[in-house]
Amino acid sequence: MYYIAKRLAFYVLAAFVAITVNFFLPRLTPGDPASTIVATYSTSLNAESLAALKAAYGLTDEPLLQQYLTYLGNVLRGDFGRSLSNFPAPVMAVIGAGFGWSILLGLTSVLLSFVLGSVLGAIAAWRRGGWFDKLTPPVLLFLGSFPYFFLALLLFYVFCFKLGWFPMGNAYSSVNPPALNLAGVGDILMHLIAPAFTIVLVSLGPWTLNMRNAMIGVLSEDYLTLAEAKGLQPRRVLLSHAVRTALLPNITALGAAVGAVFSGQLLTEIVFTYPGLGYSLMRAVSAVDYPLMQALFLIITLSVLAANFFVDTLYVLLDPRVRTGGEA
Amino acid sequence: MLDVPALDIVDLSVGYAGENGIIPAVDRVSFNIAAGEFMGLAGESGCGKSTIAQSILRLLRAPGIITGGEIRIAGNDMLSQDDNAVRALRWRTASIVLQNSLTSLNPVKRIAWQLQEALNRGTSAVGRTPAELLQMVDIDPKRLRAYPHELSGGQRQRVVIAMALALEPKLIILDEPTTALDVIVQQEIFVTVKALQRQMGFAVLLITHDLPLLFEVADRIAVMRDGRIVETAPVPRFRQHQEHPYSRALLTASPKVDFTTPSVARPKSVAHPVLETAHLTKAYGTNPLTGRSALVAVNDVSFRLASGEIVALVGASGSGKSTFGRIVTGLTRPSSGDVLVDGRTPVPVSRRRPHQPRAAQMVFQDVYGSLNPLHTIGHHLRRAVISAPGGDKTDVEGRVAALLTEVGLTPTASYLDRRPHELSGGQRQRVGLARALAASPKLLVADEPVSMLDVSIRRDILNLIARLRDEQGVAVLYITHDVVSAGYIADRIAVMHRGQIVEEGLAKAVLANPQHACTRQLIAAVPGGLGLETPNPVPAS
Repeated sequence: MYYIAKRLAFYVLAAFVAITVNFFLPRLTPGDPASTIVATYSTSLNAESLAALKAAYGLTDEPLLQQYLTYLGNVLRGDFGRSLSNFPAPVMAVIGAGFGWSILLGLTSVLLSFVLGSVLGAIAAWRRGGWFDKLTPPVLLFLGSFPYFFLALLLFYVFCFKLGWFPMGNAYSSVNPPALNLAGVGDILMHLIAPAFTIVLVSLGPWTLNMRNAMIGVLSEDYLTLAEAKGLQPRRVLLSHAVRTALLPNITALGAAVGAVFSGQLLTEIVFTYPGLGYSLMRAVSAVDYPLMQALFLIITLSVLAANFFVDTLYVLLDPRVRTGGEA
Repeated sequence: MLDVPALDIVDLSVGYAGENGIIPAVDRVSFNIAAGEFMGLAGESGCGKSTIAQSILRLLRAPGIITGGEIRIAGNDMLSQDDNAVRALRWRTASIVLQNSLTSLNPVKRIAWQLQEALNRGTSAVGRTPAELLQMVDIDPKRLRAYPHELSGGQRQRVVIAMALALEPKLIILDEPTTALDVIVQQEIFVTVKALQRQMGFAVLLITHDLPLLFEVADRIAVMRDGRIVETAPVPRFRQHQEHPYSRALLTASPKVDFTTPSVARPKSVAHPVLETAHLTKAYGTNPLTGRSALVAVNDVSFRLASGEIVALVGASGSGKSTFGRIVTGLTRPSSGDVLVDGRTPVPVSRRRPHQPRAAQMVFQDVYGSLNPLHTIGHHLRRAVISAPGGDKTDVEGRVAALLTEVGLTPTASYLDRRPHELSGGQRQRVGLARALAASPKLLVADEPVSMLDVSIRRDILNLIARLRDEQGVAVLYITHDVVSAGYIADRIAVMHRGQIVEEGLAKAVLANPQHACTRQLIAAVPGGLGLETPNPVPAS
């Protein structure tokens, strides 16, 4: 418990730093977009309109510290201002729409590649030197060396455009999100398969290799010899002893993977016009929608932090050795 | 049923498949163990004794291959049956305890779970519980929910022994079960094993390099060399007379304390001692508010070591002796107190400048881990010579050759281009000594330098250390749990217990007349006593 509390304190601090950087960074760059826009209109508008425009963009003459405190308060209340490209919709509403889809795509692809990779790696190590072990790692590394967007474009062209097996974009067929009945879920899944498959293909290699190497290390440990000497069934030796401990390094990697997948996911979403955060971010960038961008950066950072904290907590449950506080 | 031997091995041959065919490791070995007998299999590393242990339960992994012979455990043929049949026989007919207690248990499972797993292999007729198993080996059943890392090395090995007894097998194979533990823990574990054996009647095959230990616990001894058994004899007869010259060599190889000549106090160099500590303390996990520490490894130690002196720092594991050695060499910084080596405070490695004198050098225990396997012996020594402070750097090769000659690795040219894996353990430790000497230290800190080596070469290495002291005047701090080797080599002995030095004096005086209970315990735990010339009357059980 002490260990988790310590980790939590660390993540709260990291989140605070992220929020602070997110506030100061745009204000340190000369010529922020709002004042540029205001400047272009400053000759053609009367004083009242100009003041209204400034207020709408949140341009004030308050001291920076005052602004920072206001910003902190707003962030805590979940208020990120109004989106410029979807004016006057609040940023949170725009993000809220994409957030769910990104989480769905992200969780599906990370969990799929984690489970698939660990299984493949375990099999490769268990039958070390067999044809499966010789074939799997190079093939997966070859796939993993493709950039996300390239593989995404390729798969999109073949499966969505040429063969027409999967829909060409969006997360559902109708105009509004479908109801959560059988047909609706099926429709969502059909839209999910192609982008998720892309991410899984690219990120599968490291999972498999890490699992394979961890397994090979564990397989030479004395407790595996002992498990065999005890006359346990091979399946039990594999699952209860070898996989159970070899999985631990992969779980640590899970936290880092969430961050990596997020960046890859942005590109994948754009190629498949999947209505997640990545797609929102692209639109925000092309529309110079700074409030939206800023909020997106923050949300992505906080999500990665949250995922890492979750993994740390999970690790404490799975490895009793870290519970003592890291000294042993 | 009593006539069936617990183990019967006939003409067993085992080899390891290599590029040039199968290299034999065990060559037509035959022996048997009667029901309830305690058999000892002695030999040095590489003689094939562990290969036999693995073959008995058919646990040998590739590239190991059983090339011929028969193995029967309590009448069950282990070699002609298929894998499933053999798996069913494992642990019920024979179980095994491996050397490394730290890795023998699954680190992420509670010991109750692991004991239950073994119990589940049996029929319900045995009907023991994990708690009963723990009680059998004298561990509080409250520890059932503990994880392996929460137990001491001795406790972990007891858990494995309890696990081995779970299904009441006819035979238990103990493969160097106490080599990684100190003598006191070793003695306690064997007292437990012998008591359980009397009670339950299982047979034991104990594999070890330690003949004196076998004299205390075994009924019969087989001596192995190069894949063959050279001699088998009941312990009482073997003690009196060894048929084979190798058995004799193995027996006389272990260092002994010669009490016929008393230790002489070396004339202490009055000018200044090589090592001096005052109220030295090292605490771990200190709470900055309360000032309380989780562990005080070294507690207020004041100690002196004169130049040219060999002092043994003796203690059980966890007594703080290794921490003390690390402080002296600057690898660890003390929490408080002073330490002076040759009049200077040891500098941590990270802050050491190129030409700062290095008065203390370390000789490591792990001869396999302390030399980088990628570099040649010449590279290791050249680096040490070049980085040594002061001295003439023009003739590096000459200095390297001189160092190799000093540690007895001649002709020197033949060693320069070899890599560590091409050397034996003893040769590696000689390289370790040469490397330590490169900096012309005033003090060698040798932390268990021979405990990982074979018995027959331990004495050679100890003699070499003594000779280096005589020829070069280097002082030695010899850290060990083995009072016999301490008595063999040291002028003085300091006994450490829970971070403090509890007894200090001339080596033989301390051993002959120990004052502190801890010293007496360390001496009493030595198998066969201190000197084999005057064997203690050990009741042969």
